[in-house]
Amino acid sequence: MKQATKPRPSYRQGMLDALPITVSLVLFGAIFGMLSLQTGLSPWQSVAMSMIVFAGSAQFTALSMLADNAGVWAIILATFLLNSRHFLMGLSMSPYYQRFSTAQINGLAFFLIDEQYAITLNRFRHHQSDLAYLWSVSLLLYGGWVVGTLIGTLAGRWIPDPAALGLGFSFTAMFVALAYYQLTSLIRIASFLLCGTVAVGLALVLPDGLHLLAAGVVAFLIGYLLPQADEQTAGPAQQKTEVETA
Amino acid sequence: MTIETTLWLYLGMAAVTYLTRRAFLRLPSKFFSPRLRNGLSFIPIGIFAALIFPSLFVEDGRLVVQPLFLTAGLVCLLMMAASRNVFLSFGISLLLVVLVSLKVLPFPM
Repeated sequence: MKQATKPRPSYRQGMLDALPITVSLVLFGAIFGMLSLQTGLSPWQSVAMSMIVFAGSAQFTALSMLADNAGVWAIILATFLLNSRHFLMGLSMSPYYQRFSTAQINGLAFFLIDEQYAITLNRFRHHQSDLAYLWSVSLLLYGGWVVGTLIGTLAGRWIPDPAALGLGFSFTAMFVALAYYQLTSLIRIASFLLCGTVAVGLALVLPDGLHLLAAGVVAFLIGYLLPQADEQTAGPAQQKTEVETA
Repeated sequence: MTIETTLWLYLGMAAVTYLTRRAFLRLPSKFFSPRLRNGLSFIPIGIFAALIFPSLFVEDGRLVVQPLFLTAGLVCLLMMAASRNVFLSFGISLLLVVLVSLKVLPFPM
């Protein structure tokens, strides 16, 4: 009897999809751990921040502010502004989370970082949203960040400088590859270029993070005001047969 | 920092971060009109553009042109058009940047 080929379990697909960016997170987590020691945090304070906060750009900003003797409330406010972009990420993911229980959503919300958003959004364009995939991507990325921080506090002096290796480009490369799937029509390509220009302009004058929020709002308005211009919707039931990510 | 201050700082940072992530993650399905869905489907375009463009054109608060990153970004897009394989496109474009950074591969600019 012939055995039908089983599709890869979604938790394993999630791990595969998240693996390359997890490697980058380990490295950047290690840089964070190393810098946090230089800022005067102890190893446990450094790892605890990664475990409790889990927000890379906000954590780096907090280090810089701690070095300048900033107050607790100032750092918390900066964190809020930096992470305000997640309001829109959550909003755009919400159609895919409709089928999950409140408890699951409460848990998953903690893991909604840029990379998790990009990877899972790409998956759910072609597959029904599922918890196994979300949890495997989320936990792998979280583990990478925390373990990376720990490595940084233990072995900071041996960690290669990511800038010298050009590894800072790894996040851009991943986002470019995933953004490709969004560029499905002329209006979407034009929106992409317009939002990019807006983001660059605002990044030069606004605090970190707000340009993401602004670009997201501009993109939303384009889609909202031109409802007939593009046939694609954000519905969770899109079942396309395009090639998978890997 | 004392243990108490550290915990307050971390819990405060975690709370505001969690708020931004959880706030809109679940809205009632009746909330989603076709027009709103179309607007939502455009948000990733803005988010991706804002993640990508400043990393290519802004450095230390200044407008810059980074030919290597631009070339690698273009290679990544072309690889995606040809293969539709994220790992391959990610890997090849990153490898290009790493090899040039290590001076293994010459880059004219």
